[in-house]
Amino acid sequence: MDQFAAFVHVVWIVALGNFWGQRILVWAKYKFDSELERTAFGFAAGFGSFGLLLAILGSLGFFSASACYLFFISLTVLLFFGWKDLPPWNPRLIFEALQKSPLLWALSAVLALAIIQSMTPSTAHDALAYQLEIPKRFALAHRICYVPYGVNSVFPLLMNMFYVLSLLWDGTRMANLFHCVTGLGIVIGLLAIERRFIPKSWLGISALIFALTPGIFGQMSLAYTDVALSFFIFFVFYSILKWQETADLKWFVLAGIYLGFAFGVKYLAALAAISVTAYLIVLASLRKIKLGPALAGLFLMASISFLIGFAWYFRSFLYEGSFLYFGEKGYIAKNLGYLNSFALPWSMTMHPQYFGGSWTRLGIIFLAFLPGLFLIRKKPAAANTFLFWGIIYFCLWTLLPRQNLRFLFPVCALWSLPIGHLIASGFPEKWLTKWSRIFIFAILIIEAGAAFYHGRNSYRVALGLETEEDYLKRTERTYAVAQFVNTNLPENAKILNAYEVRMFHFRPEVIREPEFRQKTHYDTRFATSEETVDFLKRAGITHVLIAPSDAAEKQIFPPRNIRQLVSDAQVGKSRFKELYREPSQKDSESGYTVLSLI
Amino acid sequence: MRKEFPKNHRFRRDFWTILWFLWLLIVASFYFFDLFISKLK
Repeated sequence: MDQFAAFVHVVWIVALGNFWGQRILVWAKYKFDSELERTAFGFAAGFGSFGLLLAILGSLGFFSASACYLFFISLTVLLFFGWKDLPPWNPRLIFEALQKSPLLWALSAVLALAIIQSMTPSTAHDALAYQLEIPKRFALAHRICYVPYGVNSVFPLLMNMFYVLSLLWDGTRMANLFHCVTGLGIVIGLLAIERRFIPKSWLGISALIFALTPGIFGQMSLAYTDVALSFFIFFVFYSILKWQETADLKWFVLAGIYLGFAFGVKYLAALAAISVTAYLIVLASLRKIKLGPALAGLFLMASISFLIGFAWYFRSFLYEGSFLYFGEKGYIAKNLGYLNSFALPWSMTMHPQYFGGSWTRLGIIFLAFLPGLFLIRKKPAAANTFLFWGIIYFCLWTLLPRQNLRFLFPVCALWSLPIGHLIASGFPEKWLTKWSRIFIFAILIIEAGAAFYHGRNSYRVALGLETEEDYLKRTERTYAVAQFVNTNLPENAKILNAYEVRMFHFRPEVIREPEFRQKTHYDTRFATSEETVDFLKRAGITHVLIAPSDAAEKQIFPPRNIRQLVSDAQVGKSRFKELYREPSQKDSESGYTVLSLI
Repeated sequence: MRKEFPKNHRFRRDFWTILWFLWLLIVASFYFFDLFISKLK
């Protein structure tokens, strides 16, 4: 499948989800302010439901290219039978909006750039380590299965269901595109709220601030899950806003559905659930809302999100005996010290490397412009509410075991709205209005330039001027060794891997040594090296992959750890046979080595 | 222009306005200085 076909497939699935979502919402008598708002809500509802349907298909063992085609074609045919139920959708409105706001052109260009960058074969770290690796296992097994020694396989995987579909139909490009369209979903949602109070000539400012946030733009074109999580969380909040405006409890039902989807994407959906609860309690204690309906709503939301999202957690419990899994802890405590965490907003903007990597940086717009909001008195209710939700979510983020900037993407979506309003409405002082606008546009232009520059490696392959293979050879360190493994080792080989986490390109089963060690204690439980190797053979291991690793070179392993065993005086030569050694440019000892167990 | 703020609040408002504008400049200069210097290194 080429780039264009991959793009058409994603458009088909997303549009189908959108129309189905809208149809069901209209059928359930939800009232929307505008067609744009209906599109936004329908988008989120349809997309999430498709993820859930794919999960059901996968659990039943129908993960194959033809079964998925059959499924989505039937949904398309069914939709056409009920086409008349959908109120007319008028494309003229888009052209009118584009005529009035130049910002929408800029926004379209930014989204087009994100789509082009998505057309690149994935080389992102977490994607190759598990976001695509686990879906690859599912696609090869044609079902959602348990991956022993792959703890990420028991995470909630709603978004990864789209990645399975992508791998069945095309490859990693479609997966990137699916993540990209969740960003588009937030953009449509932001536009739908913006148009209520931002003048038409400024329409698109909040969406532009959101989409150009460096971390968000960078991640939109990768098969990760943070933008997808923000997408569902955004609509949880948006539904609560609609409840406040209409006092109709069925908006809580919708919030519960979105929250259930969010729980299906990542544990962090809990922050949204707590934020909404805290918000309603505060409002009820200030007597701004009645406690009864709020409690009823919360109960509805909680039970529906439980129904929709709990299956993932139950699956984890079935296989691993625990509903949740936590990784490494504590960025604030570890890297900055508690004293510095008082200046947290400053530190996280200026030193993103301490908060999960500089590629997830949030840019300076939030740090610079949020204080400016205190200089304007009258803010629209929606902007105020979003600001407040963002603050609660941010406070909860500081309490997380791990402060990663990408966990704050939902807050960026929420805060872009009040900042957009600040820029569009201006200040009583003319000079301030003028200079703050010049300032924000300068930053947006720099951010757009940086976004374009960071994708420089990908344009040739995205536009079809370079083959995927050449691109991967050039950029992906595991590609050559994976090619060797895929062509020379049997399909059912079982490879013990110390320590390459980017496992996507390997077709046979690759088992990460740390997790294998944690569960079997193979390197400490036997008295001799011979017995250890015998145990590995009994466990089904047929091959060993030793990866270059600076961290591993410095580490001291027990004598019967696999990294020591392969060079052991006793068994190194007699029980292991070297099949492949990759020369590395700097040091011939440090390339990948593949050995077979004798 | 000053409708939102009574006359006696004018000084206070000007103070905060200028303070915020300075904040914008400080944040931007620190951020971009750091970004470009680290690139040059």
